[in-house]
Amino acid sequence: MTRARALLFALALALAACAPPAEPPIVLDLSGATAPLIDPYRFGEGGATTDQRPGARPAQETDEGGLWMRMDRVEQDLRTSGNLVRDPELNTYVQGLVCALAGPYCSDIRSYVMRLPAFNASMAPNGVMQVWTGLLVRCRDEAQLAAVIGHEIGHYVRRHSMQLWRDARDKTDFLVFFQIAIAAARVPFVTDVVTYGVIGSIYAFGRDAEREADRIGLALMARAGYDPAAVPAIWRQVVREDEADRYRAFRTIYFATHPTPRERLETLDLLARGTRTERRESGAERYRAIMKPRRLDWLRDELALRRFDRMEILLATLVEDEPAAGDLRYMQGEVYRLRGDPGDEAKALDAFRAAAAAEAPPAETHRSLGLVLRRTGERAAADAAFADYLRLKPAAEDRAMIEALIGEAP
Amino acid sequence: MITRALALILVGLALAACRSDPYATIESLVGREAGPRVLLMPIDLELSEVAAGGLVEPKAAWTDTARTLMTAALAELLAERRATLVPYSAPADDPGRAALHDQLIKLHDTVGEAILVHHYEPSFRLPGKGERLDWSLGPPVALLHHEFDADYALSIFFRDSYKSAGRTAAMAVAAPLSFLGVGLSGGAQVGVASLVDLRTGAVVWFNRLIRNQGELRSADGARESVATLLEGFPP
Amino acid sequence: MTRLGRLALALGFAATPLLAACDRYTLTETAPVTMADAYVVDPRIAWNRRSQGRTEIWTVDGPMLQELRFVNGLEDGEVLFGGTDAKKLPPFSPRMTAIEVVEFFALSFTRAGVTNFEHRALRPTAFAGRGGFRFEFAYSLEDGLAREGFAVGAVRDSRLYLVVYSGTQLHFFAKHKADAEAVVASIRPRGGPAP
Repeated sequence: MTRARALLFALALALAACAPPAEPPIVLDLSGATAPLIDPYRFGEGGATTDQRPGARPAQETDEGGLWMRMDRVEQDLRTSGNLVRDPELNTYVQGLVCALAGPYCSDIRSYVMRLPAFNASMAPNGVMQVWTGLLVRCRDEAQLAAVIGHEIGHYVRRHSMQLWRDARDKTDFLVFFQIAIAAARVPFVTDVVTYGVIGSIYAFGRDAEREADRIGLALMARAGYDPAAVPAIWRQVVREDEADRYRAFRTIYFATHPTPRERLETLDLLARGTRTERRESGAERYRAIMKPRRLDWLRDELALRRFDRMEILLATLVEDEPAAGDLRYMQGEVYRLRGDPGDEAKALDAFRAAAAAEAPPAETHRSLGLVLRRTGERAAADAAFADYLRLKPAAEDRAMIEALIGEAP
Repeated sequence: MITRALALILVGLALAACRSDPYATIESLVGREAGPRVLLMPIDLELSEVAAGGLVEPKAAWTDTARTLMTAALAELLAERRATLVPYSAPADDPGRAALHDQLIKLHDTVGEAILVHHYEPSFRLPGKGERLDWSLGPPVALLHHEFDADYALSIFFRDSYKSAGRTAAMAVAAPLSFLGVGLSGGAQVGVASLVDLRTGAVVWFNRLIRNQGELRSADGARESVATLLEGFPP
Repeated sequence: MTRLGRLALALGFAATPLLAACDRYTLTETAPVTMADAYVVDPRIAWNRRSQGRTEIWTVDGPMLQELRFVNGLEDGEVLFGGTDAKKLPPFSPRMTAIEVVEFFALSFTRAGVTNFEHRALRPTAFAGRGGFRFEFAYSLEDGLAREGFAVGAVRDSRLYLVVYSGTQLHFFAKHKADAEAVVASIRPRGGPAP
């Protein structure tokens, strides 16, 4: 999905100076019930003739071979990227999930966990799948992650990047002649309208691809024994987060033509209800065992985005599942401490105190508590909180500074 | 941010005459009795075709051919200087050493960016450097010097695009309209190459090639392109 | 080699208005330099110098390789890096303790696209004759090239002053670390209200 977005972004730049806003849309844009549901049992065993075959690589002479070559180079960069999460246990877990879902495509799809905030995963035509840590913190169980990975596998099998590329090429080929004709007639404004129109139609193709991938993802995760209800559930969370954002990104003309996540949620809800399965696993405990010890840094990355309203909702959602989790309560406090709206200091104090009383709070809870208490003028209580921090983390890297703060005259 | 950088590069391209623009800091290659050994780093290469609408389509078969032809042409041109080409290979079974290699290659890329920005762009010139090409990767290059028993490392980045039939037609249609600001670009070669002394880390030769001609798909064309890219290469 | 994003980030950190009539680099003399009417430093070597707003960059080989950055008196609500994304960066507040200034620094870097930012050894130190702080840090950009740095600073009269030296872990950080340390050691107050 990132790949397609990057392509369209480059395309938009190539066509006209009409770059969409730098803020990326964080929702996968798919919805609609018109595409036929695939037959999961024929998947990978000779479904549609245009499907990618397991183990196959396109010929070097083809346009597809060219795209694979380019993506192979991107993959090399990815392998040494600063954002790559090299944690072997986590990578084994994610790739294991890929294999459980992708069957014969298991070794064709190579997953890379990228330390990047925001809800995102992507599939490149050569089988390079990116899973962002922003997705991992948002999934509540294995079934939800399986739904997203299944969706990406759908892109791979149906060769959507390739089709999107061909579609874009054909449409821009038409556009260049049109632009020349219009320029000759000196009507620059019309050029813009047509350019937007063509980009819009490329996006429409992308939406059809997304709808199809949604259906494949649902079929794959259900076949693997996961609860299909996880698919609409993850969209419900996206909608909740999106609607909470008071600074929701301005959508340009072609983004505005997209179906809303809400529509998509409703479609997927209907489809999920109609999917027959024998097992309905969530894999929540397995998922949490992997993610919980790792998520604090990822949540800090989210905090750096300063989308505090979204993060408030995200944390509230996670707390529903784990009311006693000290790390989540601590992060709730951090949101309020850094947002600084009226009343946030009191909310932050409540959250830090709740965290301190919860399970396994990070030692930094006490430091943050001390910082807020200092701001509210409660110096003695602040110093006590700082002392708690140093007691719990004697080797703290900021020990000398904390000690200086404790000794400081008010 | 990306659009700003893109703008910078477009401005750079527009300002640069279509030419190669080499700088060297040494009179000649210095090696051993049998001639210097030059480590050839993996060539970052892509050949592509410009579709009528301007989308640039990567071509894998062309790229494979060009890589072979370029490597042969490089070996030939270096042989004329009594230099031997040594192929690079990443450490296969040693992740720690491989990571160090990666860091070194990235350091080289970043030094290359610094040279492109601060040496080639007049508005970003560093007065402390004067007109001199004065960058070094420093002592860490000793790693490659010892592992490959090489005196220099040659790195090449190259992009080469060709007009499709449709693009040629679009350009022909647009040509009379150039006074209206309708200009379409066709195929182009963009290359960056550097030579690093593996005993000191110093970048001893650097070139940037931008031109709207060239051909990497034939042996003769590849020889001509490589010779142009290696303009000013120390004898 | 010229990956756009990386170049953009490197240039963005140098706070460069690319197409505007931007300040060109000039050379520092070895004579003492007065910063923002607030303090004086000795350059020790000839640095290439350019400024934008409240920030001044000194470098020998280019800011993407190594830089000495002076943040000269950030006011309430101002951000660490200028440019188009300013609204998304955390604002400085004069009420910040040293711990919160370091957090402000870390969150600004992370928001600007830096990954795996880690800081260590935060401790009190003198800054221009009065109390300040110092810390070390490490990070990488999307390109994965490891970088490290150290910073000293202080909040004085409700303004933030920082002197930050950073560079690539391979070679360029080490190349002028001693010079940067000498510059930092030379920071001394100038007459007047600030430091």
